[in-house]
Amino acid sequence: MGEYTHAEPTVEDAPRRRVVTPPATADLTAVRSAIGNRAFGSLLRRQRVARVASHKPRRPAPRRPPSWPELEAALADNTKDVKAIVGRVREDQLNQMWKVPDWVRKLAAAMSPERFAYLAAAIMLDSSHVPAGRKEALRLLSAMLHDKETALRMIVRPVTVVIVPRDMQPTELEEFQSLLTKDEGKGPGKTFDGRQWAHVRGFSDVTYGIGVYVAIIEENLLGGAPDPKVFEAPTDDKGNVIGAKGAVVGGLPVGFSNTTHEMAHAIFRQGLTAEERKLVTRCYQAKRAATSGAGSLVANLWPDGPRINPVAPKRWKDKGWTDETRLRYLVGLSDDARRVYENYSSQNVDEYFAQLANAYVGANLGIDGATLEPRNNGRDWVASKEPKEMLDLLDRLFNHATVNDIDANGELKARGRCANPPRPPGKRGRT
Amino acid sequence: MTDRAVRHFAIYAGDRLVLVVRDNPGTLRSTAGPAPGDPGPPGRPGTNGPPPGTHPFIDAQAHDPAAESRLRELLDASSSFDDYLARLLDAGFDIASCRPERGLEYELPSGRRLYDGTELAGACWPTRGQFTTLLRQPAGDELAFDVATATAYRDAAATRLLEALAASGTFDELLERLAAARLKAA
Repeated sequence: MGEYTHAEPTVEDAPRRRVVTPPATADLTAVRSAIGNRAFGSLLRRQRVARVASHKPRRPAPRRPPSWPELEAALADNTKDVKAIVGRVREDQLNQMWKVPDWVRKLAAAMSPERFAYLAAAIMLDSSHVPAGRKEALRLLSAMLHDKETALRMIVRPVTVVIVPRDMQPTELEEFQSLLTKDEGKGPGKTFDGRQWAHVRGFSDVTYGIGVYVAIIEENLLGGAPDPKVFEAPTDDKGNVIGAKGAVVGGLPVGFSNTTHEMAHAIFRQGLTAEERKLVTRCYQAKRAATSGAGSLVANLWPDGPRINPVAPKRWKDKGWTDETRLRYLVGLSDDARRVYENYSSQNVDEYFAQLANAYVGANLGIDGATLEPRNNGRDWVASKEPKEMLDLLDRLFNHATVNDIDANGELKARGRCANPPRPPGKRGRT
Repeated sequence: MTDRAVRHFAIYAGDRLVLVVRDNPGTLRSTAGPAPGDPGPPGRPGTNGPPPGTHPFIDAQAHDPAAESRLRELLDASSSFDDYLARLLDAGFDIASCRPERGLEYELPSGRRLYDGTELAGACWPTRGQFTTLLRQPAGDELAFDVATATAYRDAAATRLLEALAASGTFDELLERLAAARLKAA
């Protein structure tokens, strides 16, 4: 593994706080200890008092924010630096722009696709819990929003992408608390397959109020692992334990972005038209059909590699199975029963699209969890294995964007750009 | 009508797709990231049993994070596929025929529940789709109607619902015909 550069955010990069008035005591740790993690998370949201202590500006207050006419004129001028213009607007103001869709549409018509993609990402991103992750999140999200109509549908929905701190359970945040208590408190806060929502790092399509929310995670933006305490048993508002402790897991593979994966889910559900979703469905089903049967089940045609691993893992061989007997067994299973042995991108059309998007933008590094086979990566791979109509759709959505610097084999280049970089030594806990 | 070999339904909470279920032993899949991988062999070589962890009577893919907990709770209380469908209806979810080859309908236009007296008898939505009952599901595109997607939750309502669908040119007309057939839309 070589070295990779990563745009480490600076204080200048951090957006201004929504409100920079700390509580009178300024002793956030004491407050948190007194009221518990979850209530503390709500407090932060309600009072707009994020962790100001660790983000003291090194220079005086920033320039006066632009007036709306100034903002409109500057954004519509394609010769001006869109990042600088957007950087002068408070994030909470950007997050409200979905309420003026005609104005946003007018801007979309005037702005170049690349500049509007950045504005669209800024409108959807809520980095209030993790300001240090904002720059990287905008880099990744804007790479996926090149199609103006798709981005507009998501803005108007509205879709909000929230960065979850590495030391917080997502369900500690207001937008995702319903996952613990939905259905009048009857639900135990578990996923359909029996895991605790509190322990899931990254997910999409959570409805809250009139909006749809996406959870992306600090550790996948800035590198490293989540704080082990996020796998503790979740608690309710009163501090009562309402679930089980989970196994502590580390970070995701270097170069693998579940930020782009979760954003792709949001694009699929909230951005694509019904006809575009049907196109993706047709391509998914065609690939399922093309990889059925003894010979083709092991063909390397999916974003996450072959549908099943042709080689029996050690745990099978330890029990006397061979590659041949295992393959015969897997081929004999029904499609429904066999899924547990199949790669993630082949599980359903949603995951197929999300992993295909990841491969397209070059962020699909690592191995598949079920097959243990390497994932495929890069637009070139997509172009070689997907039908033209699918490639055309992805080209329109992502416009050849790559969030990692990768070589012809989809591997990271040394010292190139890298999503989810290795965490610098000595950096632990919150950023 | 040709019955499907394996029933395949889409479950909705209001107009939102929350779950797709198949009447077949399989896996329970969340919208959350991948669950632990390969569960290992089913036993000694030559065993043809299901993989470890296979659910005994259902294969299901969740589609709405906020509903997953409740859906799993209802499943854990169920003894069979049909029992699960009944519990889903009691809990306020609705059921429509799933034709995945046409793409999933992630949102349906606001539908109407149908009552035979005080008993829940079915549901219909103003969008092209298939008629089905819970016990017998048409294969392919059989019994697909332009005017509505419809499900008879009780066999006693099936004929009336199907006849009204076949005779109606609009959704409003369908509701009128259903009312005349003592199936009131709520």
